This record gives sequence, structure tokens and C-alpha cells, in this order.
Amino acid sequence: MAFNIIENISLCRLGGFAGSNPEVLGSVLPISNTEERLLLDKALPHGIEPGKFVLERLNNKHIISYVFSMKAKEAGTRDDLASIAVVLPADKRVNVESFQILFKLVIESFVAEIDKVDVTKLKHMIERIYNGINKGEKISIDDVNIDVPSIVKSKKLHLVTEVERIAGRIL
Amino acid sequence: MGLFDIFRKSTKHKAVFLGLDNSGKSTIISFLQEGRFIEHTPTMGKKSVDMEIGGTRMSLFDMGGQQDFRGLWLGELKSARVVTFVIDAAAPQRFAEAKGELDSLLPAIKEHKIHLLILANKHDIPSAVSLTKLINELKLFEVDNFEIMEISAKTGYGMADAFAKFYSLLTGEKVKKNVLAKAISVFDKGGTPIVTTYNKNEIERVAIEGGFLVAITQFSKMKMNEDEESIITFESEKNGTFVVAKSKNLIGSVLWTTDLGVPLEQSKSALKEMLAHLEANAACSDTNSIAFHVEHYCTNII
Ligand SMILES: Nc1nc2c(ncn2[C@@H]2O[C@H](COP(=O)(O)OP(=O)(O)OP(=O)(O)O)[C@@H](O)[C@H]2O)c(=O)[nH]1
Ligand SMILES: [Mg+2]
Repeated sequence: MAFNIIENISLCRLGGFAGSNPEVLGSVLPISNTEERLLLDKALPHGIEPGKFVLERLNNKHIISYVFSMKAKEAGTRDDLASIAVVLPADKRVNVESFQILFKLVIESFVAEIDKVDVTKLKHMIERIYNGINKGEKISIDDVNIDVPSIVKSKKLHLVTEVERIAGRIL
Repeated sequence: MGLFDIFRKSTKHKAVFLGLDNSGKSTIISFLQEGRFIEHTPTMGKKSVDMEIGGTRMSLFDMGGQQDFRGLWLGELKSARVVTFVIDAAAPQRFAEAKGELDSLLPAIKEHKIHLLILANKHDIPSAVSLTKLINELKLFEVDNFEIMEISAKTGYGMADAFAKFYSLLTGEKVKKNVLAKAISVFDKGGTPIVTTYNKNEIERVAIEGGFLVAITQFSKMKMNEDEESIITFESEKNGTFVVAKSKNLIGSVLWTTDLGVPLEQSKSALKEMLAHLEANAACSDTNSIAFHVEHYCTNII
């Protein structure tokens, strides 16, 4: 069962090192610089703290993010503030409440890992989440396996009202 | 004792915390709230924190220091009574950048008659520059009107004094500080003295008596049951009441007198909190480390 619901998933960061600024570290699918700026404002809202889920609206999109602290590369440096942000179309087809439940369950399966893993791994993680949810497949990262179709079934989630193919750019 | 037990009164006042990213603004604010060091991730944009101390409501704006957020500073600053500008005293490579940002705020600070408090943070780092050097390097003598203080939001050094200053700039009121002890001494678990520190305002130095040291040595030999309160008092005619407490690796004592104006129980709990702080933060086998932490911690209690 393919849901084709996620238009974009990005890894965003405000580095803990001196001289950092908010940035998008990786996206599936790729987005433009202007889209990155717009996304960062929503995916890392002002005053946000690690451990929070955020739901924001940007024009005709929903942006759902999970904010966390990401292990600093250098010892003695504070951790980065990071977020995994998902962009969904804000139309009748998409049931954002159901999606939030699924996203939360997916994230919570990794949460013990998420503070510890590095950027490369997190980039793999977002790619797997993108494919897993869009194609309705199992997501497996290291020892963690998330069976998306069975979560959807057991929690009686209705992510979309009709299945449509989406392609390309989003914001 | 939290830092806040020592302050009083009135309405809501706004202060903004500015300074380069990584200078320690969020760490300072959380130290003021919690009385201890807490590590933070960088601040995204801005965050406001409300605090109330004995009826005084304060709004502290913790502004993100990254380049992208500095455009927000002026907007918040205009309605504030105090600007606290934080500088990482151990990052001389960023002094010029900090000075540039401070300079760009000065016209608005002047126009809106805002108090400027500069905090030279990270004093605990050995490479941190002295206040004199910082004033020279940032040419702060060119700035009209400001207060400057040296602190560490990690060890707590200077935090009580800095908060007292901050509070009086913000509210126009003097703070009332309870002095909880006349002198504080720390011994290793065998009873050997490591450090003694005195209340800065005491003119006469306290004489540590022979009898007191004997009591410490005996106390060090006493085996304490887990549930037994490992705290004793020792009356001295000359000095007052010595309170002595034991923790896992250390023995601490404070000298309490009636003229301190605080109940003995408060000094006892301050002593216990200090020992817990030392056990958690100092390398207990290293006398230098203990002495250092006692000096820093004591700015909060005497
Ligand atoms: N050694 C030492 N480190 C400190 C002190 N104060 C803060 N730090 C560390 O400095 C780093 C930056 O502290 P923050 O409070 O996050 O800095 P900030 O000014 O709020 O930074 P932004 O939110 O990015 O603007 C953290 O790793 C703190 O642990 C201090 O007094 N001594
Ligand atoms: Mg901060």
C-alpha cells in the first residue's frame, strides 16, 4: 500500500559550534535555497527546545517536525539543535492528524538513537522514512525495524483519502 | 539555598540578554533560575523566560546570538530596562566581532535610556582574559555608561553579585542578601584542612580554635550510619557556633553567629548543599580543585 504523502523530508540544524547559522543539511527531494529559508523558519521555530514535535502551516503545506539535540562532533562543544521536518500537502486528501500519530511512532522508535547518531546516519534515516512512509514499506535502520503498514492497520490510521502520484518539487 | 531566596519585590520588568552565539546567555539565565549549571543547545531566534522573585516579575529575553538572529536584537531592546551583553572572555578571537555588535546597539541604548550590564563570562577557563584586558581590548572606556562584571555560569563564580547588580538596575531597588555564614572551611575525610574562606565584609578574621580542630578530627573518625544525620554543632565562646557536616569524601564547616540574622537551620542546609555541590563538581582527591570550587561556590553564600 503506497501512501505517497510526504513531499519532502529534510534534516535541519542550528549548530552548537561558534559562528553557526540555521541550515538544511540534507533533503529528499532536493529543494531550492529560497525553499530552505522558508522551511527553516517552520522546522526550527523560535524558542524551540529539543524533544518537541511541531506542526506548522506554510501556504498550502503542513510542516511536521521533530526537534532534538544532535551530538556535537568535537568534545567540549555543546550539542547542535536539529530537526527532522516533513512537508505534506495541506489538502483534503491528507489526514494530518493520522500522519502525526504515525510520524510520532516512527520517531519514537529511534528516539534513543537519535541524540547519538551522526549527520550521515541521520541523512540515511530521513531517506528511509521518506521511502518507508511513501511506499508503505518497513523502515529498517540498524537494529530498529518499523513496520509502517501494520502500524497504519493496527492504529486504524487513514493517512490519505485517495492515492495519487506526486512528483517533484514542493514548497 | 537558591539564588532567589535573597531578593525581594514589585512589578514586571523586561531585560534582554544579547551577545555573540556561544557566549553563555542561556546558561546564565538558567543558572539564575535554577542556581546551577545546565548545558543548552543553541537558542533558535529568541526565547522569553518569566521569573518572579518575592513579588517582582521579570521577563528575561534570551536572544539567539547567531548572525541570522542579530537583526531581532534592536526590536526587543527598545522596550527593555536592562541590556545584559554577554562576552565569552575566553574567546579573544571573537572580541572584535563582539565589540562591533555592541557598538551597533549603543545609540539605541542611549536613546531609550537603557541600563547596560556587560558580563565577562567563562571566568573559570584558565585562558579567560582579565577585566582590565577585556576593557582595553574592546575599548570599553569609549562607552558612556555601563557596568561590567566577571562571572562563570559554570561554577557560579560572581553570579550572586552579578544578579544583585542586574536586579537593582532592573527594579531600581537594592537587594537584600542573607549572609549565611561567617566563615566556611573544608577538610578532607581524614580531617586535614583544605581551604577556609571568610565573609568579605568581616573585618576581623575568625580564629579557628584548637578545640574545634580536635572536634573535626574526632568527627572524621566517627562511623556514620546511612540514616544518621552526619552533622554536628560545636559551640565556641570566642567565635559562635561551628556547624560541621560530613559527605562521602569531605567534611565541611560553617561558622554561624546570631548577628547574621538567619536561623541556624538555614546555615546548616547551605552547608549540606555546598558539600553536595563539591561532591558533584570537584575532583575530591585534588585539593586544588576543591579549593577552587569552594572559592567559587562561596560567592553565593557568604
Ligand atoms: N567553561 C564555561 N563554559 C560555559 C560558561 N557559560 C557557558 N558555557 C558554555 O558555553 C556554551 C554556550 O553557552 P550557551 O548558554 O548555549 O550560549 P548562548 O550565548 O546562549 O548561545 P546562543 O544561544 O547560540 O546565542 C555551552 O557549551 C556552555 O556550556 C562558563 O561560564 N564557563
Ligand atoms: Mg542561547
